Amino acid sequence: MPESDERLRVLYATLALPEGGHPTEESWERLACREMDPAEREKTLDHVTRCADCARVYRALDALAEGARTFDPGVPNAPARVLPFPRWALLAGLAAAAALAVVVLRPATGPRVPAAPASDGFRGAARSLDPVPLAPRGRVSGLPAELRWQGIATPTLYRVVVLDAEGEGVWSSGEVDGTALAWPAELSLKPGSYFWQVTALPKGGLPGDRRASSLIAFEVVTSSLP
Amino acid sequence: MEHSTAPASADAHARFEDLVRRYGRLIASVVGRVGGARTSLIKEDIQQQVLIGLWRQVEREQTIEYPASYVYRAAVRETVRAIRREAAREAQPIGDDDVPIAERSADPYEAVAAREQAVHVEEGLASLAPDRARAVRGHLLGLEVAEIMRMYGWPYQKTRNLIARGMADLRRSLLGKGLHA
Repeated sequence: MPESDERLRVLYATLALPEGGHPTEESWERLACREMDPAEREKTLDHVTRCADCARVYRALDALAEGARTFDPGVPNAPARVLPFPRWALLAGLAAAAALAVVVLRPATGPRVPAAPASDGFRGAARSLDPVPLAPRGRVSGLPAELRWQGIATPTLYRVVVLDAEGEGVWSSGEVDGTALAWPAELSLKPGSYFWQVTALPKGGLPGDRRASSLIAFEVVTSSLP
Repeated sequence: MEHSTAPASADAHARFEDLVRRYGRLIASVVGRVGGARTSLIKEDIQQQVLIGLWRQVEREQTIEYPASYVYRAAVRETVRAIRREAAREAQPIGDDDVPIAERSADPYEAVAAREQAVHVEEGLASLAPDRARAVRGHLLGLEVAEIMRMYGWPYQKTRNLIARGMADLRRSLLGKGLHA
């Protein structure tokens, strides 16, 4: 972050501490569960971006949803669009949908499932922009052989962290140019639960461009081999 | 559909407990990352408090119809409580050795000048196009690009552009008021 951004942040923070109007616990729950109507959501987010304390709560809930999505199917899947599509996106979506219909249209034998608009870049873009941890996951007998992840499209360096069950960092890699890393010889883990996460650091990007994967849980169990 | 006040089988109970424990760890980790500087020193306390709070909530109203979504709701509430607890703790003075904080606010003239500059920042933000203002406000509060894009459902590139152009507009506005930032 440029130094001048930091100065502006400090100045903004001096005003971004409103005395009231904070969302209630119930409002936070409805926001996180995507149960607010667009107007209420927009009003709440308007407060969040003007309040340092609530921005902190929002960050925590965003990180909670991102982390929990890996193990809890009950987490709401994608953010609702608060604002309408730009006109070009709508037109592109209609054009793509029409082209798709020409290719795949055939007599339907079952219930029709509406296809996602082709121009809705958000979900697709989010997937391709976040690195995805591939291994280890779940139960691992002995130490894993490597840490492997799906990279992102842009030229990128990666950094990997391994955390213990309490979320305490136990190991961190340097910057890695690739999408796999042999399990570090110096990192020996006792049987138990751990997490790991890979962060993409786009080459030539700004610090704010870094893309962190979800935290992935894995459990080291004693080898069943004799 | 069957409702129950307790898990129907040992298996279901074990899965439920595992889910709660995972959330407990996740919340403690999230609070540790997002909370203030002192939070990292009391991570174990936080995890303990979070787990107890989470169990109290799920024990009060436990169903197994959709345990995952139910536990997520409880986790959201517990996260809000934990962050607020930590914020309140941060706001308390921590002792005599905390001199630098006192020194920083010792100069009343500097404080007044900073307040005036902050007002100019707010005026500059108020003059931005609505989406740019939203993006820049989030950015100035320390939200990352990914967090802002998820917040508003914007594509990544749009979010970046809104922040970059909004910040440029804000700087121009401040420059017009004689404030270099």
